[in-house]
Amino acid sequence: MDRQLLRYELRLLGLKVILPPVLVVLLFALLGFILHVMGVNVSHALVACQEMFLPLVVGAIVAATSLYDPALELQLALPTRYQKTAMRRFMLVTIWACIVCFLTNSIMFFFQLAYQPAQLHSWALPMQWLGGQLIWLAPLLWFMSVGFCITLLTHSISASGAVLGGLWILEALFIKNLLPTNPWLQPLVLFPTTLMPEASFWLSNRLELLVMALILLPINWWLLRNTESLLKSASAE
Amino acid sequence: MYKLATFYGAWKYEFRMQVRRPWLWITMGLIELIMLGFMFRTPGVLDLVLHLKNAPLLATTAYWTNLVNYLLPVAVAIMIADRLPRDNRIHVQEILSTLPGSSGARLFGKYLGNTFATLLPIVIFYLLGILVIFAQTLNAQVFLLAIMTFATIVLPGMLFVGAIATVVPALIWVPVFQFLFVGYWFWGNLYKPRGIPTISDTILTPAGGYMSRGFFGVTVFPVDRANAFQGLASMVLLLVLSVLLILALNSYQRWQQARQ
Repeated sequence: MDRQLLRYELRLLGLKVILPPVLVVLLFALLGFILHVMGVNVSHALVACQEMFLPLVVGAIVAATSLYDPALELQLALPTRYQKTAMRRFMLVTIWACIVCFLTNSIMFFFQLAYQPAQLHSWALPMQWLGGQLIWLAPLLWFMSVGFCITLLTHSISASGAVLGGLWILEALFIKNLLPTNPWLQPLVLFPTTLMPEASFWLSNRLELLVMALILLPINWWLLRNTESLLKSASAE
Repeated sequence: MYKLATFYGAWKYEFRMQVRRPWLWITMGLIELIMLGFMFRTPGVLDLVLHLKNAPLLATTAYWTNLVNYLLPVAVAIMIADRLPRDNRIHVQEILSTLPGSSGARLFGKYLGNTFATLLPIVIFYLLGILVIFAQTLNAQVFLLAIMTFATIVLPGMLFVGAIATVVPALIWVPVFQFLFVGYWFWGNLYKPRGIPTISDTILTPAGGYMSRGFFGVTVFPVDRANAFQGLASMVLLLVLSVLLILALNSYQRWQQARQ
């Protein structure tokens, strides 16, 4: 990607995309400090930060940035199709979110601030560190792809935000109780490290979530083909 | 009198505009279906629903009202959040500011019109549940209880949620508000206090735990004990805060306008 274009896209996305993930991490660092002072175990909150909260905030951001472009009308007249521009922005947000999450996870790993899922305990330390990246990678890509897909299907950032938010709360509160009687839900558990670190399906769940996210990528690409409909819905919403 | 006409005009327009959004109905319907899916997959729930006539009517109605208020306020907040930023995005705000009529009345009309329109799919969903209870118990008293529980548990909380969703997106970017509201709802209403400090057991909970426990003796929210006075205090606090939030937003908008 040419550097000038990259700089332009980053300026367009701006602080509103760059800051929220960093603020979430800082907020949890502060919460961790307060909990530590109170004598409460902080590891649970710190794992929740990377597995539950960062993917949700990035999912909401992706859902919003994919639909609205102040110059969407102009995009119709440009040789580069909006499909390509939107996917480029998606990739930029993904890269930034991955950098924040990777650093957060690595700091927590090296300072032993968080715990690892039981399935990784028998692995060598460097492999634990690498495998531990799946704690955030799988839900992050899942939330981003699903949020992107719902926005493109509905042409509404409210619809995607509401569905992601509803799923997030239901997963956080109820999925654990459903699993004993509904084992088919195992691939759809989004936060197993936070809710059930002893789960025997942790690794397979992470890979299944990643596969779901990757399958949605070409679907999203296909949904982006009709710029005119995006333009119409952006003003009608 | 002119203020009332402005209020009514804004209310009617916003109500119609929101209620005609197809995605309001589809999104609410989808979330309600997912919620029912989770509910009925929980062991024991289906059996409970099939034998409702053995349970006390008041408790059954109050529990159903609690369940409606468990997750759906998140969807309500998110569906309302983009309304005010939309006015700025499509430059309606500038046109509205040139019109005669009180800006405060217009803002209240916008807030209430949006909130009540967004509540409509929830009211229909709620009534379907009440009809199921009626079909099981054949006791018409359930309709009276439904009105009482809805007005005391759901309505004050939803008005508060509507006020927050109107005010906060005027200050921050909508997706950030969406994230913050989901986090707030989980932490400040549903999270059972264990370790992490929370406000979910205080009277500032729009989920309605205090009203439900205080007035009807049961709740699914983390409120173990509450009397009718605390229920009333929670209700009044939510309503007063809603009005104050909208008044604060009106002052902020006027200040912004004066600076231009």
